[in-house]
Amino acid sequence: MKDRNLRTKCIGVLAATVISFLIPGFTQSPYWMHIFINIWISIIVTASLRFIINMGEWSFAHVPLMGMGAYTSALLVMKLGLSFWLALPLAALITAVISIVIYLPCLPTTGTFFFFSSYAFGEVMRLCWIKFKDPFGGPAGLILIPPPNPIHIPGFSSIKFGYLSKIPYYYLSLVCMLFSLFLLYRLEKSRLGSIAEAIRESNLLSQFVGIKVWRYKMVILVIGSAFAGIAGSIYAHYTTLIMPVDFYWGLGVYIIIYATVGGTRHFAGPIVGVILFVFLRELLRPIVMYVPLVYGLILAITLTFMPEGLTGLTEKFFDRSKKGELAKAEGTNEDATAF
Amino acid sequence: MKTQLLSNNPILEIRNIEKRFGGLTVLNDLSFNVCQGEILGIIGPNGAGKTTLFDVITGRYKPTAGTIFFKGKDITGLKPHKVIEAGISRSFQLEVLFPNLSVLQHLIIAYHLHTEVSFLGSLFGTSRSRKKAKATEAKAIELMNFVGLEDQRDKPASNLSHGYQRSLGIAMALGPKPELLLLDEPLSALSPKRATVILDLIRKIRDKGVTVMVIEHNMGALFRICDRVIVLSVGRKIAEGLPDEIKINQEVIKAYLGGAVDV
Amino acid sequence: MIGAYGTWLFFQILGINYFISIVLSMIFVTIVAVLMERIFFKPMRGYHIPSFIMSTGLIFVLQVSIISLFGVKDKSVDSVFNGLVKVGGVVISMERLMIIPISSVLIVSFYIFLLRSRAGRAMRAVMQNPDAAALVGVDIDKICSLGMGIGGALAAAAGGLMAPIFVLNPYLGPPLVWEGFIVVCLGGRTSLPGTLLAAFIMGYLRSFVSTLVDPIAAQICEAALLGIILVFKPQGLLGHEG
Repeated sequence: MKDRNLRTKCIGVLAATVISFLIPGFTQSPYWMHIFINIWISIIVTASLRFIINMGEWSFAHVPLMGMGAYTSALLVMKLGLSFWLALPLAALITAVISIVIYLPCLPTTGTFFFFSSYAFGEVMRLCWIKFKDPFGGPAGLILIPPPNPIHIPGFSSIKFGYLSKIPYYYLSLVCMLFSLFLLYRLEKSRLGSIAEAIRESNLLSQFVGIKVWRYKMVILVIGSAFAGIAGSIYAHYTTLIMPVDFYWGLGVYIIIYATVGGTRHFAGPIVGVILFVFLRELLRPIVMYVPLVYGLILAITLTFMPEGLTGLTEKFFDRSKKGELAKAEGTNEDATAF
Repeated sequence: MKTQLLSNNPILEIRNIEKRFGGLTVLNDLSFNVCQGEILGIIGPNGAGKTTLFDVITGRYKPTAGTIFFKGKDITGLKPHKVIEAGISRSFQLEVLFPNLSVLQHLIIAYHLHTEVSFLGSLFGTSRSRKKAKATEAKAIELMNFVGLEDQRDKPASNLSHGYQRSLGIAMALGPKPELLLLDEPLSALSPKRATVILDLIRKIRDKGVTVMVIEHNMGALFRICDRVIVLSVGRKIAEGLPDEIKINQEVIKAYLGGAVDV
Repeated sequence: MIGAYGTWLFFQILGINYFISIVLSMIFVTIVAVLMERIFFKPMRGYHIPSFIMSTGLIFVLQVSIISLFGVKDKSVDSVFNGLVKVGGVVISMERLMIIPISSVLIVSFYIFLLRSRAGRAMRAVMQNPDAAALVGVDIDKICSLGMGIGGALAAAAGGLMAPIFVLNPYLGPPLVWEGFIVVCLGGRTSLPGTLLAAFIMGYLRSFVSTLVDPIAAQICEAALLGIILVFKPQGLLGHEG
C-alpha cells in the first residue's frame, strides 16, 4: 500500500519535471518565460522558508537574506570580476555565513518573539543597504548587473545569457530549483529532518532526549538561508537591477502567504502555493491594483477554513484537528530554555 | 519485591541544595544520597518542591546553592543535554510528547544520542546509513515492546490514551540509556490496572540495572516497589527511610495536614 | 490610517467639525475592527503567528480598499489650530502642541477604564489567563471584540489627530505601527509607564542619531534596539512576566 503510493508520487514528480523541461517547446514568449522564471525562483525561496518552518520557527529575515544573496552575487561579479558561475555558490555560502550573524541573537527567542527579532535584525541588514551607498548603492540599489557568462558546450555553440532570449534563464532557474528541491527533500528525510520535527513538536522533550536544540536550530536556519542566497543570486542576474525595496517586509509576507495557503505540512505545499498565486496575479492583470487585496482575502479565508493549506486537504491518514495544525504553526509554547 | 542487598554505592549525592525563585524558597538545604540500583520514592504534600528537585538535578534550573554529584562528578548547574549525556534522564509530570509524531517516530528520536547515522550519509541515502537507520528502528521497536506499546506503533501521540501516553513518556526517558531515571508522578490519574502495568515496568527497568527515583502521590502503589523513601515538605527533607518506617513516622503524618498516611 | 482617511473624509471633504469628524471616524473604524475580529481573528485566538499573518493580509485588504476609493495620491487636511508657540526655546506649531493634551486625555481615560471599570478588569483577566477568566463567567467573545474595538478607536483617533500634520497616503499604517511596536516592546507590554519611558527614549534616540548621522541610521538603531530587547529582556524595560 505504501509502496504503491510512493510509486505514484515518483511517477508524478518525474512527469512534472519532464513537462517543465518541455515548456519552452510550447511557448517561447518572453511573457510566459518571465512568469515561469518568477515561479521557479519563488519556489526556491518559499520551499527553503518552509524548511525552516518545519522546525517550528517562522523567520521574517528570510527574504532579506535572499536579498543578501542577490547583493553578494552582484557585487562579486561587478566589483571582483568573478564569473557568475563562481559567484552563485559563493553568494550562497556568504549568505549562509551572514545568516549566522543575523540569527545568532534570535536563537533564545521562540514563536512570535523569534518572528519579530528575526524581522528586526533582517531589517537592520536591509537598512544598511539603504544607508551605505558604497558598496550597496543606497536606495537606488545596483543596476546593470551583468548576466551570467555564456556556457561553452564543446562541439556546439555556446549558450548566451542576455537580453535576446529568456530561455537560458528559464533553464537556469529551473535546474537550480530542481537541485534545491532535491536537496531540501533529502534533508527533510534525513536525520536532520526528524530532529527538526522533534524540535517543532516539543522543544522541551527534544532537549531531554539529548538534542542540542540551539545548535540544530542554527544549522537549519543557515541551510535555509543558503538556499535563499541561491534564489537571490539568480534573481539579481536575471533582473539586472536590485533595490533594497525589492526585499522589504511586504515580499516576506507574500512568501509567507504562498507557504501558508499551499500548506506547510507537506513538501509540495510551497510549490502549490507559488504556482497558484503567480497564475492568480496574471489572471488579475487587468485589475492589478487589487492583487494585494485578493491575496489578503485568500489568506484570511484559508486560515479560517483550512489552516492546513491546500496540500493539507489531501491528508487522509491521520486525524489532524485544526488545533493541531495551528499549534504546529505556532510552535509549542513551553517555557523551555532554548539552549 | 525489594532487593535485599543494596549496594551502598551512592550514585547520586544531593548536598545542601537550595533553590529560590525570587523571594520564594522552593528547596531548602536538601541533602540525601541515592544508592545505585535502588528504587527511591520521593513523596510529600503538594508544593514540597519535588518536581523542582528533578528540575534542578536535570539542569532545567540552576540551584541557588548547594552541589550535586553524579557518579562522583559534579553536575551542579549543567545544561540539560550535558546531564543527559552524563547518564540521567527524566519523564515529565504533564505529558511532554511530540503530538503529531507516531509512537515509532518518538522512539527513533529517543535514541538520538546513540544513533550513529552520519549526516551526509543520511542525506544521500547511502546503503550504509540506511542499514544504520534500520538498526536504530530495530532498537526503537525493541523499546516499544519493552514498554508495551507495540499495538500503538503508528498512532500519533496526541491520539493515545492517557495510560499509553504515560508509557511513551517513560520510554522516551529510556532512549538516552540512562543510569539514573527520574520519574515524575508516573501513576497520576491512572486506573489501578494501568498503574500496575507501570509499576511492573518500573521494576523491569530497575532489573535492567537502572537506578530509579520516583515522585508519587499514590503511596500505596509506590510503597509496593520502592526500596527507600524520602519525604519532602516545604522544600526540606523531613524523613528518610524504609517504607514501613515512613508509614508510621509522626512528622510525615503531620506534614500531610494531620490526615493518616494513605496506604 | 483608516482613521486618518475617515477624518479627512468627514472634515476636509464634507466640512464637518474637526472633532466630530474624528469621533465619526472612530466609530466607523471601531465597527470595522469588531467585524474583523469576529470574522477573521476569532479562529486564530491564542495563536500568535497566524494572527499576525492574518493581520498583514488584512493590511493589504485595507490599503487596496482605500486606494480603490480615494486613489493613491497624497491628501492633506487643514490645520485646526493655527499659530506657532515657543516652548523652551523651540518653536512648535500649535497643531502639534495640541496633540499632547488631547492624546493625554485619551490615554488617561483608557487607563482609568482598564484599571477601574468592570470591563477593564475583565480584559486584564483575559490577558492573564483566558481559561480562568472564562471559568468565572467572563464573556471572552465580548471582551475580545471590545479590545479590538477600543484599539481601533484609539488608532483612528491617532490617525485623525495626525491628519493635519502629516500627508495622508494609504501606506501610512505599517511604519507607524512598527514604531509603536518598538516602543511597546521596549517599554514593556505590561507596563504603561514603561511605554512612556520607551517613547521618550525612542524620541531622543531618533533625534540624536538623525541629526548626528542621518534618519536611516536612526531607523537602524531602532530596529537593532528592538532586536536586542526581544533577545535580552523580552518583557521590556519596565515590564514583568505574564
